[in-house]
Amino acid sequence: MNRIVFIAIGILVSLLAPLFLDKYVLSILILSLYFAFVGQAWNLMMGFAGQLSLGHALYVGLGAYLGAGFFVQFGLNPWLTIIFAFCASAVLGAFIAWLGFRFAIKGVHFALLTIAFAESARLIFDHLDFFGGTGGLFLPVKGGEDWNFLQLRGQPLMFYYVFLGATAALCLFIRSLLKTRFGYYMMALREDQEAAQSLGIDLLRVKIIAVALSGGIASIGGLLFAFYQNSLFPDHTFAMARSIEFLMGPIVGGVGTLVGPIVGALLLTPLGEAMTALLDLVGLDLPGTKHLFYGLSMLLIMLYLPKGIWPFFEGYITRLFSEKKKNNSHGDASRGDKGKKELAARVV
Amino acid sequence: MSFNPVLRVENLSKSFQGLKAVNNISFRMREGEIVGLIGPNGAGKTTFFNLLAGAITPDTGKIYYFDHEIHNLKPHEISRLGVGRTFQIVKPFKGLTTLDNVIIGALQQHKRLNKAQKHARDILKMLELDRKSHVLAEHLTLPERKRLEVARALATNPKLLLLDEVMAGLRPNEVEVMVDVLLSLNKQLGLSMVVIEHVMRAVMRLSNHVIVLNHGEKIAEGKPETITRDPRVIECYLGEGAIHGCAA
Amino acid sequence: MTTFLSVGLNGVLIGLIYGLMALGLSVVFGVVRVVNFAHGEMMVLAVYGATILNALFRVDPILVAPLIALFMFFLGYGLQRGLINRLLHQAEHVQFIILAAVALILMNLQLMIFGPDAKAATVSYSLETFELGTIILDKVRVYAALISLVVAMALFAFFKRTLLGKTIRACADNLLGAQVVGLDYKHLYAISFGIGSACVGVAGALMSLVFNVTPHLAPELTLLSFVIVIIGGLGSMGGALVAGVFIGIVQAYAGYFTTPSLKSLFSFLLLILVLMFRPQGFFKKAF
Repeated sequence: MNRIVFIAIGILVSLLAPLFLDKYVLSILILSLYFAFVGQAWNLMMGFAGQLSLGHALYVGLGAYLGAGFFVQFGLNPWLTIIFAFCASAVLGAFIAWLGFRFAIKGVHFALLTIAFAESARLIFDHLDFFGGTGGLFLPVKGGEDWNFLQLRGQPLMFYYVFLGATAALCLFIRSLLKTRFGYYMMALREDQEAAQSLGIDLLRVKIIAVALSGGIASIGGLLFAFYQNSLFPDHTFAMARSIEFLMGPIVGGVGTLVGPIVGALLLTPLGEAMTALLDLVGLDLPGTKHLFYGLSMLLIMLYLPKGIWPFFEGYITRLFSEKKKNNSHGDASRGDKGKKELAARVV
Repeated sequence: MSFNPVLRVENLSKSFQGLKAVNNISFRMREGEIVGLIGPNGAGKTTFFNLLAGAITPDTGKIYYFDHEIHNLKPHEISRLGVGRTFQIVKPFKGLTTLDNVIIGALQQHKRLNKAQKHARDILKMLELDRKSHVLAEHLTLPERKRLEVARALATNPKLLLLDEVMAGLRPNEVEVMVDVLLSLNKQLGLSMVVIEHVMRAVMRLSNHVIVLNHGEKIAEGKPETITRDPRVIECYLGEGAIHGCAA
Repeated sequence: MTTFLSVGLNGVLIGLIYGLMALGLSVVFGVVRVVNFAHGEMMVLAVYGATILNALFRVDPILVAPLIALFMFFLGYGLQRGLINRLLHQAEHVQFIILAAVALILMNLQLMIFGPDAKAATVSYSLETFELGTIILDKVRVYAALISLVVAMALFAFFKRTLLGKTIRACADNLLGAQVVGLDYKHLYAISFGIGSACVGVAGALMSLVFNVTPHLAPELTLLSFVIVIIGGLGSMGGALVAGVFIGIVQAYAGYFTTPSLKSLFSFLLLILVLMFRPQGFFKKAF
């Protein structure tokens, strides 16, 4: 019961709060949700298919450029391009996963493969005039308080709800996915590949689908963000630093969990921005502080809490709820209830 | 019981960097039989299993599972045909519950989650693990993990089960329980089994038929009682000259 | 025709510097078996060290190279001893991410301290050239290439002839055996990382003469080093040098036939092909 109340309050706050926040804080929230969204997509590939991608900027950038490019050049509605971008990125991801499997490219080699693809994309887009080249691609911005959801043109507040909705939808999607046959197979893959095979699971198929989903979803995030930011540069969009930013949230929050990437992104992004803001106040303009903080956080978490923050605190929180339940219910907490809690904890 | 051979192995060989791990092994097995596979350490038993399960491909020879040629198939394809296996060192899905572990096995035959769940529950009951349904696999004791391994493989509805040292690490009373479970599975479901074992008591109770491997070769084959008295077998375990030292 | 040859020769010269850079990575990976994603960042650090000393004291990077190498040696030693030794038994992805984090930290520290602008070192002979008939070669490139070659040779000799070198190779070959014999592998690993970093130090100082470098170039340098090491074959030092020259040539011609800014693209595409068809590289383990 308490859980539902907690969630309801959370929903209300996230829906209403931004109406009272100033532009700057709103922009941080949007950024955080964006990283939560892409981080969750990355998590699908690493946390479930067990494939380390150090080049996720490839998919994000592809989605961004396809969406923005087709809008600028053809006036094509971004919601249509989203479908195309998703498919293109999914196919690309599937290809890369297949390459890895077919040519037994594992571990560091596979990580390098993902980096090579992202860097290649960066260099290629630098020379594609259709997409603006090094000079950049700019979306026309009509000043004013537009709320054109159908064309994804509008004020930041609109994008807040877009990203909020997208992230919530993604989490619900993954949660249901984990309860399907494919979801179970993904978890088996993550836990023990050999055992999974012995139970009839086609590793290649699961990996490819997981990576394709991961890439496709990431590209959706990229497209949405492109329409928020209104400017794209290959050297920025496909940069390695972006790829690292995307995996920050899940790594710090907890890879392989549903809540981890969200917690990680919602924690790190505001803190990072706060740090820059603080330095600004003192009059120091040090570009790179944010990323320095990100790097240090990742380092510390990997050294001391390698499973991430969420799994660490999850224990405390579920105990908190079962404590309250124990006090409220008559008799003992039946195995059924405790069992359900454990099951829920596992999915979460 | 049909006379259809559930497993037919012909001249199977596998070398690793010049060393013949499995050397020209042939045998047949009828449906419903339990075959014990024994031999000293390094005799090639697990390599043989890995060949049967598709984890490695043979250099020469063929393996037939009923009418299917399986020696070139991948592990998951072989599993789907009806061959289940357990691992010498158990491989539970540690981060998942006991029930979820078995559900994953059940999903092979039952595509819908609720059907798979029901099947999994039934199997867990059969192996007396139903009380631990919602416990994470990493919190199970070793005997429980062993039973989980069997349950999981069983959930795929196999016709042939390959058990790799499933008794290892179990205490004598636990061994008896596991043997009882396997015997009843064999009786109730007509499940064929190949069992690698070092625990002789289990081999004697379980097997209709025993195959002895040494240095990758089959050195003896027959009923459990005869095999244990075979001088060649005693020699390979206790060394040359042991025959003269002990009363046959 | 002469332009064609010129391009190729320039590629060889640059390639020798790349080779030295990759050699540093090869030493680290061959011995410690850790994937140093911060390699490019360390290279940039060395470049900046040389550029700044050059700007402040007008000193030739070649003269400062030993100093930078020494500094990098201690940096590498410290990094290995302080951080990486603790990662040796962790899951692979943990190692990668930690080193990627180190790379991020280093790159942004550099951004903060040095700023994002491209810098290069200037010396009295910066614009002078050698002329071999109709072929024109920049003096800075020739000197840098020669020094890279000399340092690489010295490194080979070190590992082949000296006791310390052999001990390190023993460690790389058979860690357990080395420990049984009483070798302090932690110290030896740290020394190897130090040596690798020193190579990068020299390579960086030399590169400051030839390229404009910014901290943002680091990931590309890291990837390039990996391309070279993988083509050359992990653990083969000679392979790293040869592959470096090869990549230098590939990039030179790629830049010549398309545009200079697309140079690295061909190397990256080459990496993808090599990872597919010959991930073990082309040279045997000469280590």
